[in-house]
Amino acid sequence: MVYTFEIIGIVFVLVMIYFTYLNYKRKEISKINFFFWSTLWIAGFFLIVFHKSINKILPEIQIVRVMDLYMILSFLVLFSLIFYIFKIVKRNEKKIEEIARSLALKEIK
Amino acid sequence: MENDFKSLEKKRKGFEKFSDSNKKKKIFAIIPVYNEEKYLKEVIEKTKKYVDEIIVVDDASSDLSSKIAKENGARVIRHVVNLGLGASLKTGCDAALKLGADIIITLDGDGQHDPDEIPKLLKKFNEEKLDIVFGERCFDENMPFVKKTGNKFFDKFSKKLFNTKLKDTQTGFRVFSSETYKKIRWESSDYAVASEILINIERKKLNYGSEKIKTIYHDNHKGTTIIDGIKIANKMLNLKFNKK
Repeated sequence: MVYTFEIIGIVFVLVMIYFTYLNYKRKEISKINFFFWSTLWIAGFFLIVFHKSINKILPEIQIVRVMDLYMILSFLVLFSLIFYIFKIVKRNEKKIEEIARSLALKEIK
Repeated sequence: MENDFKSLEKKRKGFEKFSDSNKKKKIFAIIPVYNEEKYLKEVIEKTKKYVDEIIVVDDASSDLSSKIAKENGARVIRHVVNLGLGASLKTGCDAALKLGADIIITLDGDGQHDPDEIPKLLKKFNEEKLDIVFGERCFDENMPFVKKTGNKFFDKFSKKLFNTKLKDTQTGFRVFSSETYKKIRWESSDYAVASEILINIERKKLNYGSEKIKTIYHDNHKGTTIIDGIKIANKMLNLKFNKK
């Protein structure tokens, strides 16, 4: 029996793999980024398709439902990405500040 | 009548003394602005009387701030994108150094600081040979409730973290030498600049003092918000635990 959440999950993962590939082909992301994101989506795909096999190992890691495991993993991935994006935003802010300030100071004669 | 004459004479002598002590010293006023067309003309006109040059740092305003500043004889430096108060002050001070400033005065462009109080601050700066003098506002009924609460909180917070003695830690009215600026040059690009300056002064063990100034608020919706307050507190904690 195929569950609805499996179908939604698989469609989502396939769409995301397609967009990742598209971005790579358009040279908007690097090869490393392409592999990172593809690995993430493929891992998601396996977690959805083989969720019954995962059920067997759940008691060992003291988690009751497979959905709880997904939630925990999702939060971990999301927070890591937020931290990574935060770092990039801060770095870019600094660079923009340096450029804008040096442009402004160039006006001084 | 005689008393009036005596008091005038005393004031005149005081001003002469103040002028002598600043002889040959180039005094620059830095006015950071972001959409301040309403009060800028008045601020520049009043400031002109006390300084050699005025630098208005326009932080990418969308109004006529730059035009008004230029028309009134200020030197205008413009950021291509909005960077924040700290970055604007830094740009202004760097420009002042480049132009050979000896003494730098920072004040707001929204009329929060009365330029007629510049001589008072300069007098204290010269007479007490301080590295920096702050214009200290009273937390009275002229200050909006939210700002008053925030300012009181930061007063206690910085006292606790850095043992600062200044009551109004968030004031933007300051007088300092170019030498002091080189020592306290800040990293903050936003409103946290006020706290960072004070912390740098404490760390470098510089001499600082304060002089009471009027509390003026024209627009309650401008200036620091609660979000800025959180950012300032975060910056202060960062500075406390990440010593350079």
